[in-house]
Amino acid sequence: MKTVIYECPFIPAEWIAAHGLRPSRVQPPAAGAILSLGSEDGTCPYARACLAAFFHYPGDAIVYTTTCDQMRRGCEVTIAQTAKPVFVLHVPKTWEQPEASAFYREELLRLSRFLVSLGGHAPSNSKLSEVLLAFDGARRQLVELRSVATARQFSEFIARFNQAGDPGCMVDIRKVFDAAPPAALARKKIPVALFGSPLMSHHYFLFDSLEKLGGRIVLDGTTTGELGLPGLMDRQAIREDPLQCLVNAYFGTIPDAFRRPNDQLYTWFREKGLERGVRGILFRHYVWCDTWHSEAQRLKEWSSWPVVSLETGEETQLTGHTLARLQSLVEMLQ
Amino acid sequence: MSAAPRQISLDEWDDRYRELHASGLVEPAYGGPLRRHFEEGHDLRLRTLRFDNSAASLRLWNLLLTEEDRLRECRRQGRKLVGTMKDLGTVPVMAYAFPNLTAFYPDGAWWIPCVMEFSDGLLRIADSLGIDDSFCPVRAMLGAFLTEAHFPRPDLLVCSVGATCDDFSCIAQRLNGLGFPILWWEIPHRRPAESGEADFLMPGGMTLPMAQVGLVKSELARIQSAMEELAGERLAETMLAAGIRRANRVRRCLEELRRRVFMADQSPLPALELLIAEMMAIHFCSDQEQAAQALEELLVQVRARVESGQGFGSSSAARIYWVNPVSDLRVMNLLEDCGARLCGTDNMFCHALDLIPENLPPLDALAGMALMDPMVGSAAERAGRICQEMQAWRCEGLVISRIPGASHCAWEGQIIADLVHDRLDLPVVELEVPPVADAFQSSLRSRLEALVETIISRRTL
Ligand code: SF4
Ligand code: SF4
Repeated sequence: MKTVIYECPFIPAEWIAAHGLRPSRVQPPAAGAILSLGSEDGTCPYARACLAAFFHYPGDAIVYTTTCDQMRRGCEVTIAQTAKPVFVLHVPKTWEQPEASAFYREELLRLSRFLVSLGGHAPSNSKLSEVLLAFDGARRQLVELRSVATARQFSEFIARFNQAGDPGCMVDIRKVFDAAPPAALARKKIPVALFGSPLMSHHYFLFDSLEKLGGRIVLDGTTTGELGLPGLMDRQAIREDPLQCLVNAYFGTIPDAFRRPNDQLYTWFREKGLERGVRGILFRHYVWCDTWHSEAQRLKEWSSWPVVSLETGEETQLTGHTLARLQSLVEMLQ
Repeated sequence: MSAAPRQISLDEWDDRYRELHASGLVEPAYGGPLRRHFEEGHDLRLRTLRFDNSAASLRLWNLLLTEEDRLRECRRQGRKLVGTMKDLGTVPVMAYAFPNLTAFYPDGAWWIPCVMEFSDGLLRIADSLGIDDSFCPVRAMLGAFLTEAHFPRPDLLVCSVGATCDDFSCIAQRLNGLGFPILWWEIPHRRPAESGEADFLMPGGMTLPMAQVGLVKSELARIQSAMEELAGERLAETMLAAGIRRANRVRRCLEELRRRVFMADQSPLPALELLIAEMMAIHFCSDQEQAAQALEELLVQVRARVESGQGFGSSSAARIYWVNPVSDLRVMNLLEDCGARLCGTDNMFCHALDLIPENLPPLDALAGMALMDPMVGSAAERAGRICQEMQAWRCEGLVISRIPGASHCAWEGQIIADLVHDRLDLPVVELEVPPVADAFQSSLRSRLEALVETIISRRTL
């Protein structure tokens, strides 16, 4: 079975799977010096990491989206340097008008034609409904793990689920969890929300470092974490119009920072933050990531929770700078 | 009134202005000596620039540097103001089709820190809002909105997003978060029509997917409705068609101006004035009729110089194609100091210099033109047009001017440079120009001089 790789949370895994192909959402490690990906000065480390991962990750085709300019332009580098088929899907930044979601739906249909060209089969409504139900069921199980797993485990499970692109992966995820259930959740530690740019695959040390200092991430507000999860679906709606259900679950609910306007991001964050008893925010963005960087000050003005912001690059382990920022957050909240 | 073409300083313009007046110069209402912009407007950069000494260029500069006054006057007269953000040449055409709307381009604040040599304090305001120098100089716009010192608060603020830079999209969102309502409209990433897909043929042969044209058309229709409400009148198709013809008057004039400047043996217009002239195509400097007249006067001047064999610099100056506008205007003078001349430009809005089709339904034509924006397509396509123009205008080298902080520059520069190198085998230099580049003057000079030397040495091979 051919594998289609992508990074963006707005690519529905279900849609690819329903075509008989394997979807796999990549969470990249740092690009480092693996490849010459253009100038490091001015390019987002995460976008560079994705490009590098797309070259090395086993996959038969690549799907890019246009949600940020860095990725849109990085895509051209990929096209120039790979023999793999590349598809670019335009995710509208605007969302308030019905035309925007209709365009997204049209883009999914265009993606379908690309998937067919790779050897996939355009799904019937009943096939699509079946796949949607399977994914939705698995995602519900995944979400349930949040209350019993550690924050790090939960975020890593999300990444694992995305990468596997198969609802059956919940069996393995469950096994991993059962083999190493947390001795006790660190409930006494200070509840903190992580918010901002997506995490690279080696960035989970942040969770442990914060715990060592007396904090505990209770909300992973990154698109590699909870923020990037599509909404749960209504079973009746799945049966009536599965494609529209997909559009609603992805385009209609993921409140990413690039959306215009992006007030929904703050609504989502407030709801989740209150629900989890958040007391402070670790806001993290990559150098040259305008999309998230520009939210840092706005978040501080908006938030009644203290915010510490952290600008990061490609570092693969805890740096003195990051440690100092984590310490100052915890001290502020003690 | 005409004198031999010469680039003169602000001080020299005092005498030249008197001379022009003595010989009967008649100026429009916004006319006057250049010096007043330095003294009253604090446009401090003017004292470091060298200007074309023609009356036509004086008019062009005066039109540009009085835009703030003009906008305030429009407001006083009860005209409605439309701020058209991140839209290089589409929505203003529609706005000027209404008799009582004036469009302006808040993104133009890009140049304020340069022109006022940071005395405006706009970048400090942007810093304080968390938009620091990792963003493009257009961040100055935030300060301009908050202080209202450079343009009044518009009655309608429109911003295109989608396949645009992150810098602008984020800065506009920050503005929106500060309480400025924005009508966002979507421009999708341009792609070729796929096989079997309905397409839309643009003059010049480019085919666009009908689905994209349809989306942009519906977005423009939404903007049209908002403008109709603001203007208090419906925009009939004939009015929009007339608006397109007026925009084409400006574009036709610029087309001839550029062709004559780029193809003449000796450059009949300095690089700096050409840049200012091109800017008129995007937003008409808040007065479409005056913009057209100023450009037509400039064209007359350029024609006369070409016909009499007069111009600037040497006829053996290195023929340069320039990509991206410079944040520091002085660098345009520097290019000429280094023995080069401008023989082609892509200031990110070459689609705004192309004629808008007059034989199509007007909204379709505008939607198609919006999608022709070089920045909404791939850098490879942009590079393709650059190569074609470099060949047509016999360019000998390429300068890619990197804009500090811009989300597109780090990626696209290499793609454009590689393509030009591969297809044309011409030398390329990529340099970054900050809003006031005095501290980098010597390194910029040596890079440009090295390019010129390479070009000259290749001629003898
Ligand atoms: S981290 Fe920011 S700049 Fe980088 S790819 Fe993601 S949204 Fe784009
Ligand atoms: S110069 Fe580039 S980054 Fe800046 S606003 Fe224009 S397109 Fe965007």
